[in-house]
Amino acid sequence: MPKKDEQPEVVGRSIIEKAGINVDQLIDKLVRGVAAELTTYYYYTILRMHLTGLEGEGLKEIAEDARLEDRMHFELMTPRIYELGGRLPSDIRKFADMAACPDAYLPKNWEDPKSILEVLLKAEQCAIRVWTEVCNLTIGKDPRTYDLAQRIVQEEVEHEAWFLELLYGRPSGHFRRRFPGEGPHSKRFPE
Amino acid sequence: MWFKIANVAELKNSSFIYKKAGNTHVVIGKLGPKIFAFDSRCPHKGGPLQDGTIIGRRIKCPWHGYEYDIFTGKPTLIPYPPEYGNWRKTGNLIIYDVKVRSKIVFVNIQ
Repeated sequence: MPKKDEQPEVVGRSIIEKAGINVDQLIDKLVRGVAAELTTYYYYTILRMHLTGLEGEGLKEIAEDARLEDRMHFELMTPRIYELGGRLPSDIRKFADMAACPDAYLPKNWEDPKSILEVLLKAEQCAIRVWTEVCNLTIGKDPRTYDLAQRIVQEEVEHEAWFLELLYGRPSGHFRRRFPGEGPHSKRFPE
Repeated sequence: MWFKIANVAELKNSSFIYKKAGNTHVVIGKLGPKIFAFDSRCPHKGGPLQDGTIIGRRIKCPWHGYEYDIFTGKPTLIPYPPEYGNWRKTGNLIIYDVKVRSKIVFVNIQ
């Protein structure tokens, strides 16, 4: 029976340290990334509520697709933080202030759905930068974190593409989801 | 601890390179006759400053547009209004001492 203050060897951590990753800094980036996902989920709830009127109705479901998948990104990556020996802050306010992306506040002119779409677009673009950075740090060194981060990046890129198509007519290249929360890349337990 | 990080010839004026010193990732460059070195993580939310832009004597973070003086480390631009509350707070850029010996640049990482 191990002694209470005995630290076990964690090969899953030491092996990536040997590969050259500063695991504590990686954990910090992951915590900031998942904080951004969870705060985005919260703010997208508000934004979706305000996509009103004839124009807004058609956009509600697209916002919902992105909203639910951003929450799934939080669910996908958070266990990895604990696997690596990290943890989430015990205070949610501190957690929110750590987020790698700014709060996606409801714009003052929210009655114009384009203003909400611009907020949604910027949030997705920030997420792409954050998770691409994690991919760049971990590729070839930490296959598990890399795999999780690249799944998230794939969905964030798709979210950005939808919002660009709606705002600028730039073809996204693919359909939306079959149902909100489909998470084709990030769902942990496919049906 | 002093780490050998680059040859002087690698450093071009008004630009920078990205190197590792031990476990620390460093942005190192030259502005006029002066060599600068700082931690590659943005003190705001950890963004990759090696992907940032040098504007005069400031580095601009690619994530949120924060700017820091590359010699003093002090923030010079916070592009978010006060309504962003604690999220917009930032510390100073971590600056590293440099020395040149025999055309080799060393950086001091504490």
